[in-house]
Amino acid sequence: MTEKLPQQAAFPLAYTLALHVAERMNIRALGIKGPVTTAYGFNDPKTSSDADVIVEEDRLWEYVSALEKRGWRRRPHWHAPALFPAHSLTMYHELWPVDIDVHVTFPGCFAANDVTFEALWAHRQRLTIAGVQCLVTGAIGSALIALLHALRHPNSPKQIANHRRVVEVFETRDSFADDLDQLAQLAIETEALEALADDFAAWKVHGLPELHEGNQRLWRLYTETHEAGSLAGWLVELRKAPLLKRPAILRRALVPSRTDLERDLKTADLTRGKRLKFIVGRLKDSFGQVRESVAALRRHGDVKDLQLYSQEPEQGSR
Amino acid sequence: MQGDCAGTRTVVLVLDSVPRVTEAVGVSEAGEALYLLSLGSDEMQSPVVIRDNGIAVWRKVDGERSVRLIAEEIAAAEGVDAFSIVDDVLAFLNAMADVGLIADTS
Repeated sequence: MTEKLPQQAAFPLAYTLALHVAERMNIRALGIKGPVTTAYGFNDPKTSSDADVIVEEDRLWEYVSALEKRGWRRRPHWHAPALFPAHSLTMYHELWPVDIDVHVTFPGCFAANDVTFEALWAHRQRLTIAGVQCLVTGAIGSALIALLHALRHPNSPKQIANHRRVVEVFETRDSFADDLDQLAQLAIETEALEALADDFAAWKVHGLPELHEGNQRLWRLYTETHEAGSLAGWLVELRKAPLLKRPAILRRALVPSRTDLERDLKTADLTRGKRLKFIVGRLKDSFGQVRESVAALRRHGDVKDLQLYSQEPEQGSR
Repeated sequence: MQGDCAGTRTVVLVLDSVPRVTEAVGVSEAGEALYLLSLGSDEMQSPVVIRDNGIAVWRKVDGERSVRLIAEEIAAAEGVDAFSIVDDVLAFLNAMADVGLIADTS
């Protein structure tokens, strides 16, 4: 019987594997979050359930194929509408207790994916993870991502604390003044100014470009709805659809397919009873979230101008 | 030592071989075990785990010590005759070579 691989051991190795696969194929990729964030002091060491990398989007599917050769598989994506373009896909392996999240961008960066990647790539550094030199985001890029990650969850006490930690550590860096200039420049290039507006205001950074109103609305909408999963996407799809098509959409929203449930529950062993239990639980959870999502959408304005996207980067698209 | 892989065997170590760790080996710790992953091998799909004496051997693989010397040093540390452990050390190192974690320098 194969011994189960502990998550504590698997987590850093998943980073080294993900980054080494890219490097071998001359595909540009950077480690983000996790041990990278820790290396700069933005969080304490911890083990997560996924390793995160960002790759150049043009070569995403080559990269995915390379991981598939090592036994990794794409986690089936949820067939539900999303309000925002997919920023990542998830790879899993039967023998590993951690996933690999393959990013093409990061939520909060409204620039084109290749522009965001190039901006982060320009700040790259080498970091030793599990005894292997890996390419990762530098201090400024890591700070940007750490801030955006915390700000995605504005109502979470844990993320509020994480945000405060990142800010405090950033402010105590010897090179803070220069770093702040670089962070502002990076936020301009990646179009993350809107997401970091409050931080730059607190730091009294002047001379920044005017905020893009559309990005501001979208960021606000994202932070207010993404924790409810695909709920806001379904609400918008319902709102945009002709009346006669709405019952079918509602049914798809309320009764997910077996494939979608297996993805959500990370199991292929789904009995009818388990499926029913999950659906009922999900409906119960959704009731509270529906009102909040509707309110968030109303604050946004006319939802008919919102585009809907797939939950995963589209193969063959940029 | 456990793992889930089928290596492409290119070397068989003998007592006078001088093993070295191959390039790109990820090493991670959990509890009292080490988890080793050969990044250069598509065949190795998950890490192998080593403990105790395996870790002692692994830590002596440096591209300078021969298999024989590794066995002698470990035996000395354990207070046993090198002869009694050399075959096990050799077998262990060959198993590591089999999955691409070490190679022969000599």
